[in-house]
Amino acid sequence: MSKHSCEDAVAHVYSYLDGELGRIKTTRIRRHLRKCPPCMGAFSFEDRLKMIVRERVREEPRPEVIDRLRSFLAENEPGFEK
Amino acid sequence: MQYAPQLYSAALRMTRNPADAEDVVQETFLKAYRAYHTFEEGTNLKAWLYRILTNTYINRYRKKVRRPTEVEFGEVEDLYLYKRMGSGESGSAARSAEEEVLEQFVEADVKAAVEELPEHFRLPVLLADVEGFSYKEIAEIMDVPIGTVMSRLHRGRKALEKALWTFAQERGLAGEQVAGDE
Repeated sequence: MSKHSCEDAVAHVYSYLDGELGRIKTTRIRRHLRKCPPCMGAFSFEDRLKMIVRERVREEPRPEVIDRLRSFLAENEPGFEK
Repeated sequence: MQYAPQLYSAALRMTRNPADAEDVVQETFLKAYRAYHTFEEGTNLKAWLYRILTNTYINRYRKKVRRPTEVEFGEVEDLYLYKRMGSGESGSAARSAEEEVLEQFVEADVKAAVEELPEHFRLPVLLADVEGFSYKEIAEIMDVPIGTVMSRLHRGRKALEKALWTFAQERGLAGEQVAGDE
């Protein structure tokens, strides 16, 4: 695999995984990944990392927090209902 | 109220403190109700609420908490964590050894790594990776050009990888085959 196409792929890894790369670049990189297992491994790792961040960072508030938000709005905003 | 739990979760990572997060969310909803007539029907309500949340957080806390803001982290190399975590011999198995190690990060590690990021990195990382906004939406939420979003998000993720590497080492998650440490 040419060093240049690996460097090109790695330089665009985040935009590619975010779906923020244009169609032409996306196709070029997808084609490279199919032929280059090391880059594919790296991309897969970065993708998994993104998912792990999403899964582990989100935190559901305790019900009291939402209850307090409701009473706060009811107190301060006359039009607030429910 | 539909987005209240999500906004609270984001506020928690922004303020790093439950009491402050609650205050920010309350103020956000109050502002949103009062400004609702300025919201254009059919546009993105979620992004609109996050914009109010982000502004509320910034106005309340940016001055108070003097942190180094635009301090350059130095360039963190590409694939920082991946290169350190394993052999690089992957691509064949359904899930590589490196990815298996990722699974072992506990919630506390990932949250701490996000919270350690300087604010100008933390916000885009939260908005993109946790909340799933596009670059364009983040640019609108943070009121910065899209190129700035991209550069901060990408550098922020690398800084996050560096922080996670520290946790991996502390927890002994990382294998022996460490490639070029610093």
